[in-house]
Amino acid sequence: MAERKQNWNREENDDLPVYLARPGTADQVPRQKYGGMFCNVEGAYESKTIDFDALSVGQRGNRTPRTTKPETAQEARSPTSERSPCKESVIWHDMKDSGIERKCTRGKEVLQNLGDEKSDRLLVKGGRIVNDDQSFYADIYMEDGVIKQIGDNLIVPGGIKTVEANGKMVIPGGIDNHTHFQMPYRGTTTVDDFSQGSKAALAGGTTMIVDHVIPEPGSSLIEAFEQWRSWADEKTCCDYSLHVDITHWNDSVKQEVDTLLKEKGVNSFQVYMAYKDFYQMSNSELYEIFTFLGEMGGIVQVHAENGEIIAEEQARMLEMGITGPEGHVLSRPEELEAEAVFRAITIASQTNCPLYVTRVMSKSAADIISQARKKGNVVFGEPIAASLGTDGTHYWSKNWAKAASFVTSPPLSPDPTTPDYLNTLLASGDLNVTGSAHCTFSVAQKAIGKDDFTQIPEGVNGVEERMSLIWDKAVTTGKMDENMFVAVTSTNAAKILNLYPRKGRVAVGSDADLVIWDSDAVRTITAKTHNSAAEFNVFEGMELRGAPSVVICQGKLVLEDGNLHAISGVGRFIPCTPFPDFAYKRVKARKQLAILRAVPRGMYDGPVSDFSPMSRGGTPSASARTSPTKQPVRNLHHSAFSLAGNPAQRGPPTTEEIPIRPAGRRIVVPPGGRSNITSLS
Amino acid sequence: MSGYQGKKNIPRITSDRLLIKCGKIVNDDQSFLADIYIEDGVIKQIGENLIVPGGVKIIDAHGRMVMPGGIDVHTRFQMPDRGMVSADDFYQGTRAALAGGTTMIVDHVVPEPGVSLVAAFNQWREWADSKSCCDYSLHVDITNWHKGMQEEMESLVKDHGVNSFLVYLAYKDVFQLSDSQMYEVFNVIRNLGAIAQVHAENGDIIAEEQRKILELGITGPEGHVLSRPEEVEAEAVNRSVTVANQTNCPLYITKVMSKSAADVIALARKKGAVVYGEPISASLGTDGTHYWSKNWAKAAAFVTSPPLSPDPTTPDYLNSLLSCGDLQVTGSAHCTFHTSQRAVGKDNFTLIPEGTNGTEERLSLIWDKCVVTGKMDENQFVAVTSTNAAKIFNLYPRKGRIAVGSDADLVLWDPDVSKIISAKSHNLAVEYNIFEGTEVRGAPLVVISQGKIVLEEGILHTTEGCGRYVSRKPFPDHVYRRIKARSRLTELSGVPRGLYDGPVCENVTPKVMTPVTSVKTSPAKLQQQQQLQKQAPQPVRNLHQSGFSLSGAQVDDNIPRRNTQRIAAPPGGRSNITSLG
Repeated sequence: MAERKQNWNREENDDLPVYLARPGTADQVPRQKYGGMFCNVEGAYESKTIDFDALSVGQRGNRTPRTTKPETAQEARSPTSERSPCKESVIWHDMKDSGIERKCTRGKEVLQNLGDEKSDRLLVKGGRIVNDDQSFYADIYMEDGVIKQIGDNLIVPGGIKTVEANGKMVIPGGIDNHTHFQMPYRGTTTVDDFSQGSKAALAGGTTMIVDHVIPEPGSSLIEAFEQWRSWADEKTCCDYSLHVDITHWNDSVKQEVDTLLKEKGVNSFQVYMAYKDFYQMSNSELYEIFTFLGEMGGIVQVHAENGEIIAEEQARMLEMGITGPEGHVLSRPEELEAEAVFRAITIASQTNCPLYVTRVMSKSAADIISQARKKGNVVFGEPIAASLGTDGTHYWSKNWAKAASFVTSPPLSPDPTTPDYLNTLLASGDLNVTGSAHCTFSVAQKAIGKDDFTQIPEGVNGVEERMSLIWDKAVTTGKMDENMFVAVTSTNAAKILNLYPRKGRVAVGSDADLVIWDSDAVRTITAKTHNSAAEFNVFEGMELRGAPSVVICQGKLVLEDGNLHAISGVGRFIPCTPFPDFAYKRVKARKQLAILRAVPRGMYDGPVSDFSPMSRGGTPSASARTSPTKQPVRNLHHSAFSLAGNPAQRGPPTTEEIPIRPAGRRIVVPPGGRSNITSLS
Repeated sequence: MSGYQGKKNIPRITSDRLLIKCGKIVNDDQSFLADIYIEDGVIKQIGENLIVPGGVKIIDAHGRMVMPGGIDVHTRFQMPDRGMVSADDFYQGTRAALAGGTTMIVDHVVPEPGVSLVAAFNQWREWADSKSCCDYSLHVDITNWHKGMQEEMESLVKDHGVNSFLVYLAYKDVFQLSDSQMYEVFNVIRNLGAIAQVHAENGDIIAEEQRKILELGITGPEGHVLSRPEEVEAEAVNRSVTVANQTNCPLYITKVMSKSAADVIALARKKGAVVYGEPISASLGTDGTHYWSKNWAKAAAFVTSPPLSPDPTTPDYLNSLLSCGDLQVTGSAHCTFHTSQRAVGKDNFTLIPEGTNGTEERLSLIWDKCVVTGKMDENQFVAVTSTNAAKIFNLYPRKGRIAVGSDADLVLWDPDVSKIISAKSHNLAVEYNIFEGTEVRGAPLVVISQGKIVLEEGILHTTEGCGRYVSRKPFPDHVYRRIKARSRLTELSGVPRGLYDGPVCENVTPKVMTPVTSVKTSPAKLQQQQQLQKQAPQPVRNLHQSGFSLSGAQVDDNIPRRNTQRIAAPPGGRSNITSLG
């Protein structure tokens, strides 16, 4: 009891923001296994539950510090029900219509909960658990937002709420790896804030979102991160994590990235190759960022489009008098996307840094990624709901508002076979993760660009439709099976974020983020019924098979019978740690191989020509272009050489300087003896 | 083999008339047996039993192949580099070319950044006119980009017979152009009807890699290839193909050195891009393993950019692509330096002057690697060594074909002779030959340039300064017929829509925040931006927005309006375009 007392005191931590609670401790809260009030009898696990810890691929535990409330609080609060479960007291309510049976309990439940309106304990019975590797029938018992037991005939405390899955699939909740909720844009904000957006996510079976922090160029990354944290903590209904976009690059940003990686729980950073003169990074900056993140264990995400050419093309379109949304797609042809993807892959492979390409919108970009993967590059592609579900023919719609609602960058491809192609690559594993890039604007906001397509705020919806879309386009068509479906909607994202197996898997110890998936449900997507605040839905009128019938988030039922019970502000920030195994095991191995060595040679003792050091290093006109931070490389090495002639020059060379040594003068006896390396061999 | 018919003391210059008897004429489309009669440097008759004047010199080919002389589309003779000049000048270089069966070279004019293109062109003309032994033409390199360049390019195309310009994606801070500049240059080139050539390597990444390699303490020639991996070449090829497609400009990739770069070109061609690839003698004949040679001077002799691939299967692969038509043209990128000149970079590989030999060995190498091995036939051989180059650069059918009216630049080819390439016997000024010790089959027996025999029985009879400048007209059919058709197709039009009359969000801050940008960018970038801003047009949005005043807030409008303000009856009537549907 003494130990429990301690834990009880720890409950004070709960008043603190979750991310401050027990900072630094990487250990898990020790769970009482035996002898506790609600703990099952000793040995109960052994015969009934598969040892998932042993089966699961990654190590779990100390790499993903939990911010959950200490679970002992719950136990301490209900001291009276120290009993074995009384199944007789359970009264069954059959709800055959929904295909899901929900059991309400009486009797002991009243005693148990002691005024708590909702039970944190849930039993999902008779479901077919679908992970990315296998499917099997088992019951799932969860408590305090964590899956405690999986198996048949579980011994669970009485009076708990039971959800009867009736053989339906129970899948890990979706992880939407790319959202832009509540994104500030030129003085306005996207219409879906964290509350609205995460509600829509939950309604679609997504139980975790990863949003992008976009600092204004010039401002602090950490400040922006904290800003996003406060917005999200206040409003999200599901767990979330954050990517941080690097919108400018210098030494102080480097420091901030370091801090974010090590202390703030961010392991992925996005850079832009588009948006010239605004977010765009030069190749050298990309190289530096990639090198840095490769060393620090971060994931580089790129928005891949060639911004320079886009700027030129935009000017050309406007000159031609094309001002409508069709100009958006005409000025951003898919080749520019593919080119940037190619360039990003080249730089990533040079710097040995794992690369994540956000928003794969076109066939050619996807092809480049799959080719690179075949060549062995560590690169992940993220098609989004929009590119998997619809195409860019709508940009030519006569309805301006409709056309504008499709505006996103890179644009949807006008080739109507693109969604099918991307779904195929997703199924074959060439693309790995799906996001939604959900970033919605009202028609009034889109109308900022009514006379100039370059001014239209960019972004489409998709967080709610993502899971159903992929099910409909990929699983019902037979492109992928249910396990692959789980992999691309949840597991792979969790692995890349280094949250696996806490997220992305139905296993003992994992978070209780589950979806009971109804593969037969058919619904028609329309802006009239969707949970987003936007007036348009890019998937308007699409009929999709497959929908979540029950969504469990943090161990609580948030969607049942079509009713959403999401609570704003319950979402926790899930910190991601660097060096995710999924990407970095390979990268580390390559690092060891990639050590370069010089060839040991004798000293060159032949004649050396006269040359003027100026003309290659920098003509006066070129010097303006070099970065002042970097000395021209060759000085580094010249300064050390003082064998013959004039000692090598120090400092930047000037035109007046004498060449290294006069031509024709030979060294007869060089130190170290003469080696005849100049003769023909 | 050859002898005079009739009297020997004929008052006229007999060497201007030549009869080649019984040769197997090999063009890129067919081979046939016929005699060729040449007068005044032009082919006058082809056929059997020709009626020719008496006293002409007769060469009996004995059924051997007679081919159009090779065209080396890429040489850098007498190229200045940091106060040095490459070892082979126009005399030495063209002599070597003729010795190898190449009867025309196209050299690159490399203006120092800041120097006028026309001035540099005239300088090169002067050098070449006084020294060249065979016909030549010139490409002009665009080493920097500003407003005045466009007029200079126009003048070069219209008055000086230049129809190809090279841009560099490498050599950061010296020659390198940015993507936007490349886009603008390509637009100008397309409008002028010229060919865009690209030195394709990502200079930004190379600069970073060079720094990294030097920091690791690698200073020898192996650092050159380590800092320029072939991926970086392929990336730049891909980028230039993309930009060329966007601008609908024909593209010519010089120096295809690696498998990946060649693959990118082949793929782009399959997608329909108008792109040509030029592997060079060095990439077709040898590989980059020599960079690790213990002999510094030998390793340094291989330094060229992009570097030779360390993958020893590369030459074979490139020869295969050349045979199947994915690569079309061959050059030599002949740019040689003495070992003492190379030694400038003895402690730092980035300073080693770049370039390899190859103008003399090119034809024999390709014959040996492709025709002898059965990858290509003699006609394809003629295509890749001569005809394709002539077509792309608008010299066809004057050059690159044996036909009546064509220039009398011919090679009598002996496919059976074999020789070993060595610096001891080559016609170059340098100490090293990168093909040292390679045994090749196939060599020219007789070379005829401008109707004169310049190589016979292994002896060169060249005349310094007899080479003529061959001017090239813009809009070569071989390239521009497709480009023209495409530019007709790519005309775009907007969608006619009613005016948008719904609500417009207000309080919008301008999209490009200039005060902030100045803080975020590094000083170097800012300077670059300022430079760019001088050249580039102003931000686009102002042009169009300022004219509109129908409803809602304007982006540049600082006075906030109320949300409720609507226009009830907009001019042109109301159209219901904001409803769902």
